[in-house]
Amino acid sequence: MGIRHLCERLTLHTHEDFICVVTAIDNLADQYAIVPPVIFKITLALDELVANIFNYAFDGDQEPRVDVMVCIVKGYFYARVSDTGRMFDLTEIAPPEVDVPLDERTRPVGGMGIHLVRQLMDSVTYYRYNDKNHVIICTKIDPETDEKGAGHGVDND
Amino acid sequence: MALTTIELPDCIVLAMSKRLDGTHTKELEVKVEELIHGGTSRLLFDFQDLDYINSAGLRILVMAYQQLQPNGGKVAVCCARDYIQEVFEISGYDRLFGMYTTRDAAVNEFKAT
Repeated sequence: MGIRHLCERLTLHTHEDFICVVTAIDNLADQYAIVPPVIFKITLALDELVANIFNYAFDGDQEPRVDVMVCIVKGYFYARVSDTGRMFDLTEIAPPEVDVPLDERTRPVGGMGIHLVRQLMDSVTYYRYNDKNHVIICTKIDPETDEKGAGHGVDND
Repeated sequence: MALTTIELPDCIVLAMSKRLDGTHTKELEVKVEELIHGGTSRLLFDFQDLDYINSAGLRILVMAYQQLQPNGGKVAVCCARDYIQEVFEISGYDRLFGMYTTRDAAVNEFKAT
């Protein structure tokens, strides 16, 4: 059985399709009694990942497609976001200069969405496989859950 | 999202409900631009009934700040839920805007300055 029976797989062709991810998260939240602050950070992390892909990953002649898998395993929420766009490892991106006043920042303002993902999730993992970008995010859904297990639990394509 | 504009003597309150994302972000951006071009210099975003905001929504507040602050204007936020407040803290934007737990506290601060 493993984890597969708990997973939901979704395919998005535009950022507007993100509503189906919201619905999937809401369904998981109902099943597992996930509290609103956790629902919020899960939704926000996925929203930012998907927005970033649709905004930057695809060339003009490429049909955009993002695959999202969401699941709950042993008190942890996992999601894998996969796309066929240009290679992009979000874990290598320097964080925005949040402690520097806006008009004194030396780097272009941006990257806040990725920064939020990395700060809100317990773990964020990137890998490139079969010419696709894959990002796995994980966070515990219950504050009582112990720390072990974060960062694992989703199999490769 | 439902967007309500309330004109007070010392500021304009923009109260929004449910989700600030997707197409709602554009709606808010248009409203903010309209207000700033109309001469508004003090904006209060009331998040009492707001459940969700993403970085695109946050950018509208930053845009308002960047336009108003150099000319002595102000942007403040009130009544944000704890988890939305956390997003402001993670992004560092809580240091740009006044963050208030009640609308009255924010309005009083606008009155005093």
